[in-house]
Formats: sequence, structure tokens, C-alpha cells
Amino acid sequence: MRKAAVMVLAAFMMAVTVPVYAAEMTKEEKDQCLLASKNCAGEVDSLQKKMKKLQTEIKKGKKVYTAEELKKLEDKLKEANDMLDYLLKQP
Amino acid sequence: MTLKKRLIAVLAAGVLTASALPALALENEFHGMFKAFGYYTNTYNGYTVKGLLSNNATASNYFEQRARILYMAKASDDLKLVTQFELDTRFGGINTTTNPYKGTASGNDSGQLDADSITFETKWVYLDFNEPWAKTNFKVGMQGWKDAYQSLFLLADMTGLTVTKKFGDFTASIAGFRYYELGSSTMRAGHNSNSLLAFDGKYAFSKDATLGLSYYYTNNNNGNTTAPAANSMQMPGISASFKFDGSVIEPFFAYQFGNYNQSRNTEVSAYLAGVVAKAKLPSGAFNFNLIYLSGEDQTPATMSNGDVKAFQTLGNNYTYFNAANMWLLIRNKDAVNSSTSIFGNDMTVGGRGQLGIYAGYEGAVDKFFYAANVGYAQTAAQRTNSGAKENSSLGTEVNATIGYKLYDSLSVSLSGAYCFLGEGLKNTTAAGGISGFTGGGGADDPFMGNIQVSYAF
Repeated sequence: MRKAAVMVLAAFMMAVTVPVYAAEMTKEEKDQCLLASKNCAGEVDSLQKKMKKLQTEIKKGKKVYTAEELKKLEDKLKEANDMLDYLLKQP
Repeated sequence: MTLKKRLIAVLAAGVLTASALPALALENEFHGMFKAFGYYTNTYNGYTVKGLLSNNATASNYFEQRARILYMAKASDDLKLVTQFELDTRFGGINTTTNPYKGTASGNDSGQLDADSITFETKWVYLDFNEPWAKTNFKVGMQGWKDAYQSLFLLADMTGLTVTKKFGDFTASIAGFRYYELGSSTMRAGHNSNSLLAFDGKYAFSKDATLGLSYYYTNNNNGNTTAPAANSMQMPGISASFKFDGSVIEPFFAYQFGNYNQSRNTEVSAYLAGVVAKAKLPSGAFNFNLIYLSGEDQTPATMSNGDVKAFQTLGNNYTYFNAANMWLLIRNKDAVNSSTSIFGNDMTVGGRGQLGIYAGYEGAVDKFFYAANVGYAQTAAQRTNSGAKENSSLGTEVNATIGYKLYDSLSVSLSGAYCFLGEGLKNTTAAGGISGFTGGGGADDPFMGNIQVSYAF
């Protein structure tokens, strides 16, 4: 019993403490982050990219999202659009 | 159970709990923009002042840039700190104490040799959160706010509180801002301040039809030395938006009343009306805009006993009408540091009011985009100077823009604008020119050309 408990405990400790690495490159792959600033870890979407992603998700409609979730996505799209307007068009 | 077993059980339970708790991660969200302009114009000079009008007007050339950095520390969709900063620079700097620039008392900016001066400006610093029970949204701190009337009354960054709550299809918002506190360190606070209180309600009849009601109250207990000119003023209004098949029409009306100057026994009685419309066409969009700001045929500050019919704002530089797409009669939505008009952003033309009609067409072909616009403006009221009645005509502007999108987030464009000055701006006051605005006898028509590089992310 004690051994089993220790093994369970050890397994959880491992699960909690081992960091999760993003998909690692193979030896043959090029590092697109260093080469072209693409696919970098911690990459943040631009407002334009965020809006495109939101539009793609909204198009999936009620087959994928509930009405409430769709409303939330639409609100986020409006928020991103307003933010772009605020940044660019409000002297 | 032995002590050891109990210990192991407690430890295991602890680890299980720790692994099940959500991580208190913070999402760091950065956005921003950069714009650079080069100007060739016979009316602007890079200062946020009224465009220069004169006979034999020679052309200026100047360059300026603006960057805005927006950072959000997002704990969740319900809690975030929002900050935004602005860095404005005119190439070569602005080195004069007579025109202090963007809050730097010496009128300096970092465009000078070695770029050591200051251009850093604060725009937003506020906490945005939804309280967890009724999901009411609070924004506390320095934030942007705009009216429901195309920003013809006010669009500004101010310190205060906004509370917004949705009740089904109805959204209610209440905001309070203190935008001037002028008391000294030996005075009680709040007695020498200017404030704005705003209620906005919007009801969505459907996805394509909304009706808005608003009530704004401004208070100037500093005695007319700072904006607004009126001591205390109330502004109820109504606006609507109807969309159909990609086209939109938005009519609006607001009335202003209240105390203009207590010691002179004058009251405000003014209004604003307008409509903004955009029709979607297969190849682009046609827009049409009409505004009317009521005007006063006397100088409001020197009036006694009566109604001041001049539409009031909190100050010229805090008003916009982006839908007009003008460059000379009204500042353009794309303009940056020196954004101004030939009226110095005073769309009321010193309280004379304005009737403005603006229309245009815009479209895009692949990565090219283009626009052409025409606008006409005249004053709503005419004053008389030493027996000469002012001419109401301000001018007719034509402008065009062509641009190319190098990337989704980067575009380069060329714009040109020409204004056929009206009689009110090209005559001496003795011959009907508008006092304080005319370029004098035979003022040249103003023109402007610019190249713009615009990046947003």
C-alpha cells in the first residue's frame, strides 16, 4: 500500500514539476523564429490576426458554438475593431 | 492507519489539490501603431493651430511621426489593466516657448539633434473589471470616452469612472469624469474643478436597429476660465442606427441648455442635428454626412440677458467628425500630432455654428485602396462687424487618397486636398470676412498634400 501511494505521489510530482515544451524542432527543421520571426514561443497575435481568427470562429456558427459563446466572440471582435479604430483613427 | 500512511495520504491529497487549481497566469497583450507623415501645404505648419490663410501663401514642408503603445495585463476576460502611451515627434523638434507642445512646458520634443528631449504622453491607465455577481463592468482611471454624436461634442481621454450594465437588449452606461482640478495646495479640493457626468442608454430592437438616449451634464465651477465656456450645462439627446444589407444610416439630435454666464444672466439654448450614412456598393462604398450646429449672431462672452444659441463643446481640440473625411475644413481621421483644420478644429467657428455637407466614395482593388471626397461648409449664424455683415460661406473642399497595402498591417498612401475658400474667409472683415477666421483680402485657397506610412499591430 505504502509503495503504491509513493508511486502515485511521485507520478503527480513529476506531472506537476516537469515543464511542458512546445513542439520541439527536429534536427532537420529550420528555426523559423530565428530565421523569420515566425512560430516563436509566446507569440502574440496582432489585432488584425486576432480579428481574422475571431471571424473564422464566428463563421463556424451554432454547429460548434452556443448562442452565448457566439455573442461573446462577436463582442470580442467588436472590441478588437474598436481598439484598432482608437489606435489609428482618433487623433 | 499508521502515522506514515496518514502522512502519505495528506501529501497525496495536497499534490492532487495543487495540480487541480487553475494557474494564475497573466496574459500580456501588446498592441500599437506607428505613423509617419510628410506634408507639403500652404496652410499647415506642424503646430496644432488654425491653418494659416493669407494672400501669396507660400508652402510649408514638414514631417512628423506618432507611435502608440498599448499594453494590457489580462488576468482573465473579467479583469485587466489597460495602459496606452503615445510618442509624438515633429522632425527637427518644436523649439519655442510661445507654442508649448503636448504638455512639455518648454515646447520641446525629441525631434531635435540627438533626440534627447521628451515625447512620452500618457493616454490610458485604467482597471477594467466585471464584478462577479451581476457582471456589471467597471472602468476605473484614465480612459477614453466619446459622445453618442460622432464626437462633435466630445472625444477625450479623461480621469474618472465608467459603469456599464446590460439588461437583455438594453445597455446602460453611466460615467463621471473630473477633467480639471485647479485648486492650489492651500484650498479644499473639488471646489475649483470641471466635471462631466454622462448617462448613455442603447436599446437594440434587432441586430440591425438600435436607438440611443443620452444625457450629459458639464459643470464649470472655475468661473469660465477653462472649458467649457458655459458655467453648467445639460445636454439630452437621441441617436439611432439602422443597418440594411451592409449599408448604414445614423441620425442624431441633441439639445443644450443651462447656465452660460451667471453674472451676465445668459443661458445656453443650442442644438446639434445630423445624419451619417454609408451605402455599400459592389465596388466600394458611398458616404453622405450632414451636420448642423446651431450658431449665435452675437459674441457669446459679451452678451447680457438672453439665450446663447451657440453650440457648446468642451474645447476645439476635443471634437472630431471623422465621417466627413476632410483634410482642410475638418481635421482628418488619419491625422496625427498636428491634426487641425483651417478653423483650428473649431467646428462652431467661434460660436457661429456650422451647416456642413460632406460626401465621398471609397473602394479597394486588390491591395490598392482609394477615396475621393467633397465637402461644403457655411456658418449657421452671421455676425456684423462695424456695420459689415459677415458672409456665411466658409468653403468647398475636394480631396483624394490613393494607397497600397504592403502587408495586412502596413500601408502607404498619398493624399491631396484643395479648398475653394468661401467669401467669409477670403475677404477683409470690412468686406464681409469672418472676424478671427478670415485670411484677409484675397487670401489664397489652401491646399495640402501628404504621404503617410501607417503600421498597426
